[in-house]
Parts: sequence; structure tokens; C-alpha cells
Amino acid sequence: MAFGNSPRLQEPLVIAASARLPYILLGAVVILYGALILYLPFHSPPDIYNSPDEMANAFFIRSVEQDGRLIRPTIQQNLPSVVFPRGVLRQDNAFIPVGFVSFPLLLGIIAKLTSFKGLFYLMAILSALSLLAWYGFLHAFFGARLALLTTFLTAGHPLVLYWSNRPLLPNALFFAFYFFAFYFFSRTFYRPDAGSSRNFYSILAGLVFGLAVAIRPQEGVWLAAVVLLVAVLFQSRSWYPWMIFLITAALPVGGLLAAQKIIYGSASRTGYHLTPPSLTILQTLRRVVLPFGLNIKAIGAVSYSYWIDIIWCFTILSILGLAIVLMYRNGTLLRRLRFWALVLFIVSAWLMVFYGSFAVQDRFDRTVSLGTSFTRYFLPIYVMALPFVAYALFFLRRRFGKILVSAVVVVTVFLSMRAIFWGGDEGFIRIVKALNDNKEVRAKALQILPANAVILTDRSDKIFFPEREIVSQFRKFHHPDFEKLYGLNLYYETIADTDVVAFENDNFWGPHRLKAQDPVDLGYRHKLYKLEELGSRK
Amino acid sequence: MSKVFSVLFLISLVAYFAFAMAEELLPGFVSDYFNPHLLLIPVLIFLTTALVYEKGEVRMASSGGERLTSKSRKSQSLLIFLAGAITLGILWIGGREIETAWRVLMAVYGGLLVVGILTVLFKE
Repeated sequence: MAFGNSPRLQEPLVIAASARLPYILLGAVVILYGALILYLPFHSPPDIYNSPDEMANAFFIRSVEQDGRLIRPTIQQNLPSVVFPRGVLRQDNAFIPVGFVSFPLLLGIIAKLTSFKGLFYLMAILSALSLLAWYGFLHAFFGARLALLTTFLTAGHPLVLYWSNRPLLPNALFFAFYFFAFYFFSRTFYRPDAGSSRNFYSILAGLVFGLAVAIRPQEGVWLAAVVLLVAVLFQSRSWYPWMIFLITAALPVGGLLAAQKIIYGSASRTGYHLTPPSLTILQTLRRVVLPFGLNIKAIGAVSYSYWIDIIWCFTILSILGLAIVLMYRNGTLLRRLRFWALVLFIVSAWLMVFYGSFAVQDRFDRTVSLGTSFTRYFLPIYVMALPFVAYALFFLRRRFGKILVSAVVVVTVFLSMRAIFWGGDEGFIRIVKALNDNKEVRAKALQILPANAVILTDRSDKIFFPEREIVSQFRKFHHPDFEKLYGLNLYYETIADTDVVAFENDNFWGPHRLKAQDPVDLGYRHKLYKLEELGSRK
Repeated sequence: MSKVFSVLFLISLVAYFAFAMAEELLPGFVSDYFNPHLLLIPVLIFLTTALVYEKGEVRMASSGGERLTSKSRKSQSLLIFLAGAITLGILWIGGREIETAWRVLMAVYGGLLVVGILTVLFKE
């Protein structure tokens, strides 16, 4: 059957009232989704984290939970300001967060009510419910059938599941708020019969939208653009709900600015930029739009790696869906999908340019993997492309029959689950093993290290902090920075082989009057060296 | 009737999950009395029954009471279940490094995703 003659796909799709089964299955999937995203939090040993960002967030969340304060006193007093792990800064004998303070602050306040462990349950429930909110929004936009299929695909997307399993990073919560914001937004502006309930939904939409922006302000620009575009589609003519939306959205954002004023001394300052900025408007604009510069080659490489290479199954299907949507011109659904394609294009272009030039090095081997930061930066693109994946599956079903589409679905779901659980070295099974290994490494190291030890380490700050003071940026140090460390009880932790450390002694430590010696094997390739100060400059 | 069995399916699924997680958190808490994974049997029975009744009700509704026993509908249902079962099987075998409770959870989740997606896709 020719696709162009398939009217069912071109109208807003409606499932017959009697077809409850997909909804029952959706309910079951949502429940299991909430359960499944507790895998990593349940299996990880306490207080050992997979990334420095999670470590830092846990540190500050616990601080708010226990002491009601975000700023926490340092482990040792009066150490130089260069002594800090990744994700944390040292200022006036206090640790302050590098990232935006809203996330640890919000979760810390919630943890006071639920306990730290209870946060994981709450986040799981919120993430699961946000899937239903996503369905609600899609239903208003594309009709029930495409909405259902897209929601199933969202629940099965490897990166959605992966990052939802790591609730101490802001992405899971951001996405929950993102889904809720769009649901409430559609309830506000798409229901002509909404009446007074419209204002109520407008308040909710504004609040969760504001919370999403407060948690990840760097996403605020494209998020606002999407809201505006969707409002154009819904053809909102009333200003009143807009006013309510904007006022309530300003509340959480205002809270973030107030917190930044208290912690960093200025509402516009963050842990990323502690030096008071005295920038021109053009420089400020450049810092907002292109904080990492503009490197076209890097953008191309990142786009290929994180669009084609890593989730090829979904990407091929989304490109197919997109092509079909652009080729055929009839019907309400296709018109809306083309509009959504425009939204997707704007968001993709923004995120690719914004993050594509970011020289992030999450892995020392620099390979493309599931757990790299880029996959969470691009998560909005992956999710927003899913209606096209759904449309492509409808196309395959009609064009090539049930057997082929069944095979595609089985393979896609299998590859997703495999990638998350036992694929590569960043699947959950490997992460849990690595975390348990790190727990042993920490226990062994703490038997050796005195309380006044200061550890210089490239990547093991997440293992030793906050038990000991850490210096993580020493590779970027100039000689005066090393001079600040003289007289401290220094240790060097590494997984490099002994001949590499011997080379470093000659070429890195030596010129700074330091020498790594007396290695102690901590297990799992980790070695701890005593860093001795040499008598004279080499 | 499909509604009744749907509710029973959801209740048994939640009960299964609750017991399996309880066992995971406090080993022996449940398994001293019974194997929590046995609850998967009612889960599958209720799901299948709900599906069968659902099909019957759709037939009745769409044909004004006339019985429809088209071959394609049967093969469609069979294909959905087969695809779900295949996924469940592959994930069960693939996930052998994971403890049983989570392995079941992952496999059932994958199976349900496949069944859910195909049910929407195949809905006429």
C-alpha cells in the first residue's frame, strides 16, 4: 500500500474508546520504569559516586540536609585555595559548589523531609509520573496513537533510562520538570473549554518551567524558544494566562539569583565564574551563547559521535520519520509534525553549537560512550526526535508489514536494555563493579593516609573526597601554584604504571621540586605515592 | 471483564515488584515464606486473560455484535506475544550477570515495552 494513501496517519490519531490495552501496558511500563531507575542507586555502595559532579552534589545535598547550610567548612583549615576536588571550590576555609546552586539546595531541602536515601524514591516516582505528563502533552499535540507510541519509545530510550538512574545529576529532575511543564502548558493553552482551571494550570506550568530553568539555567534559552513556538502552534490569544505563567516562572529563577547573591556575592555570579565579571554587552552575550567558543570541526565530530554512532537505531528511524514527514504534505498530523521538526531543528542547532565546542574529557581514553556528558547535554534532542521514530515505525508497519516492524522493535528494545545494563564499560553492571572496587580502594587508602594528608589525583577525587583534602587541577598548575603546596603532607594517587610515574618524576614533578616515591598498591591498578619535596630546584 | 483482569494484572504486577524489592533489600524477608518470583505466573495469566477479553470486546464493539474470527487478528496477537516473549527470553539470558529479581524486572520491562509498542502499531 502506498504511504500517501494512508489517511489514518494523516489525521489526528485517535484510538477507539474500547482499546484499553495500550493504556494498561503504558501503566505497567510506567510502574516498572520507576522501579528500574532505582537499579543504580540501590546497588551503589553509599558515599561512592561515579562522577565528580554526583560526588559534589551529594556532598552539598547532605550539607543542607544535616546542617541546613549549603556552604560547608573545609576538612583542614587554612590550606591554599588550589586545594579542591572537581565540582567544588575552596573559599575562605569553606567549600562552595561549582555548579548552579539551585539543584543541591532544592534536593537538600527535600532530603530534610525524606532523608537522603528517600530522595531516590521520590525522584523515581517523579520521573515515572513525568512520563505520563509527556504523554499528556503529546496527546494534545499529536493525538493519542502517536503519543502512546512516543511515550513507550521514551520509556525504552537507553539514554533516558540511563540518566534517570543517576538522580544526583540535575538531568533527571530537569527532564521531569520539562515534561510536567509541557503538560501543564498544553492544559493551559490548548483547552478552549478549560475556563478557570486554565489559570491553575498556568500557575503549575510556570512553576515547573521556572524550576527546570533554575536547575539548568544553561537550557533556559532553548526552553523558552520551544515554549514560544508551541504557544504559536496552540494559537493562544489570551494574555492573562501568559502573565500568570511568566510571574510564577520567575519565582524559582528569582530564588536561584538570590541564592547566588548570598553565596557568591552577586546574583549573576556562579561557581563557574568566581572572578567578578566586568564585561561589555557583546562579551556577555558571547558568554551566554557561545561559552565554549565556536569550533566547527569539533561540532561536526561531536554531532557524528553522539547522533549517529551511539544510538544509531533511534537515529536511523528518526531520520526516516523526518524524511517522510517532510515529503508528504497532507493532513493535520503531518502539519504538526513538520512544525515539531522546526522546533527540533532549532533546539538541535542551539545545543550542538552550545555544547559541540566544549572540550570535555570525561574519559581518559576519550572514546564515545553512554555515560559521557554529551549524551546528557543532548538528551532533549534525543527525546524530541522520538515522535519521528514513532512515525517511522508506523510507516514501516504499513509499508513492509508486521514481521519486519516487530523485528525492528525487538532489536531496538534489546539493544537499549543491553547498552544500559551490560554493554560497554559504562553499563550499570560495570558501574556497580567499579564503585565496589573504589570502595575497597578507599578503605585501603584511608588506613594509610593520615588525617592531614592532601592527595593530588587526576580522577580519583570522587573516591577520596570528602574523607581527605584533594588537589585535582594540578596538571594545569604553574610553578607558583606548586609552591603553595610546599610543606603540606602530599600524596599522589594514580593508575599509571611505575615507568610512567618514573617519567613524570623526571619531567613533571622534578621541575616543581617534588618526587613521587614509596608506592603502595591500593588494588585495582590504583597506587598511592608519597610526594616528597626535593631540597633544591632541578 | 477485560477491565477486571487489567486491574488484577496491575495489582499482581505491583505485588510482584513489592515482594521482589523487599527480598532484594532484606534477603530472606519474603523467600523464607515463598518464592516472590512465583508471582510472575499470575502476572502473565492476568495479562493474557485481559488481552483475550479485550480482543473479544473490540470485536463485539466494531461489528455490532457480529463475531469476527479473522485469521489476521489471531496472527497479530500471536506475533505480539511472540515478539514480547522473544525479547523477554533474550534479555533474561543476556542479563545473567544481574541478580534474579532485577533480571526478571528488566526482562519483563523489555517484554512489556515490545508488547506495548506493537499493540499500538498493530491497532487497526
